[in-house]
Amino acid sequence: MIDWAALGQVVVYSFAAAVAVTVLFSAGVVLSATDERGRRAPAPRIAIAGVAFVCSLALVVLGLYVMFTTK
Amino acid sequence: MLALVVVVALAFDFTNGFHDTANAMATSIATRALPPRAAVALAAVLNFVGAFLSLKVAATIAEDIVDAGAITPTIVFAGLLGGIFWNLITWRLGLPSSSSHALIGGVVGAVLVAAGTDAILVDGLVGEVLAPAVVAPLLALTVGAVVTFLAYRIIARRRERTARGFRLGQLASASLVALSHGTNDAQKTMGVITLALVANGTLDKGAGTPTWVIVSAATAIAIGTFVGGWRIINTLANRVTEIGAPQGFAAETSSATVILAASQAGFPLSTTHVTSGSVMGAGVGRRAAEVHWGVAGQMAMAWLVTIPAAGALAAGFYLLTDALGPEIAGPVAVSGLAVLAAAWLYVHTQRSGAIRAGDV
Repeated sequence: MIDWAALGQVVVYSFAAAVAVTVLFSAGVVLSATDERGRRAPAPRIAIAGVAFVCSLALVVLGLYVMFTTK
Repeated sequence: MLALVVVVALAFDFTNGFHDTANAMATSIATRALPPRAAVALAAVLNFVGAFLSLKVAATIAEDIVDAGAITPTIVFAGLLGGIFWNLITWRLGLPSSSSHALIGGVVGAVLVAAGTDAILVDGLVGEVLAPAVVAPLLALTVGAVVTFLAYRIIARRRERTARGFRLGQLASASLVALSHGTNDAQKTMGVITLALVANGTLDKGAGTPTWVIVSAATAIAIGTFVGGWRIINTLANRVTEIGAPQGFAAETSSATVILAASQAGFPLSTTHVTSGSVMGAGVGRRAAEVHWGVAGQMAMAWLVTIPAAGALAAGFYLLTDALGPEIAGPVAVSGLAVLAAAWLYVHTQRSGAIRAGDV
């Protein structure tokens, strides 16, 4: 009747992917944000933010791959 | 009869797009990530593109939930009309109910009166429709609440200076939801039309979906999406909870991940249930009191009654069609009545307080 294995997979994958994308993207946004005086973030922080954005983008691409290949 | 079924199926596809524009774009409109018209235009394009992505023919509505041998063109016709009218009624009420459940309920209702309870596959109905209907909003609400909480913890004291970044991220995640909606929902109409073509002998079984069916279904859902069901968009964008940019991003990310995880696992979830649950979760994750539970309760009630209500409407359409003559007179007469009823509902709604793009 109910495919419990598939349901468990959905729960685990949903949480893992949503938390990973949100944490990475939020960290990237915070690290690249200007400070209280409107000054740009220093270069190392921008670089780390860039890595966080690229990682979250990679997860989105993985999502698109899943969409293209799911039968 | 075949031509009529095709036209009614495309009309259902139109109402599906029209009804579900809110799924992808309500939060983007709420946070002003995009102007309303631009948001629905983007959703329309992505729904159109999404309709071409999957190679799967989604005729499973008939195969897994009702006995495929019991399906006749009249049942498909009545089932589609039941789905269309439930979509229109819930649009009138501004409630985001599932178009897929409306279609399934319509087919089940028509099969019940045409062939009896033996033609309903209870295992399929419970495992593929009813259980996911309970799981989808609860899972999306929980995921949405957790990631909203995390996003606000991470941005902490820099909330104002991060809004633009979250709006940009929200566009990407909302686009994923629109794309997956086009893939999932346009396929259902393609499946129904293909089923009718096979039943009529126009197409060999296993021949695949003709290109004109794919293009017309993609076009119908895209036009419906572009027209935009502003009443439902207004409910999700403004009436469930107040949505800030981080919440909008978290809600759309939750929706996209749950929908994609479900696709990957082969566990069918309603896009509408997922996105509505995520929006509620985005409210809970920020501060529980911000969710308007009265509106959420109305939505949950609409979800509960969608299948029986669409089924009852479809059963009525089937009995009326059968009584007037199932060959041609009945379907033509019932189609005429349905067009008049839909036109009355639309005009009445516009006169008694229309909601347009500028109001959202």
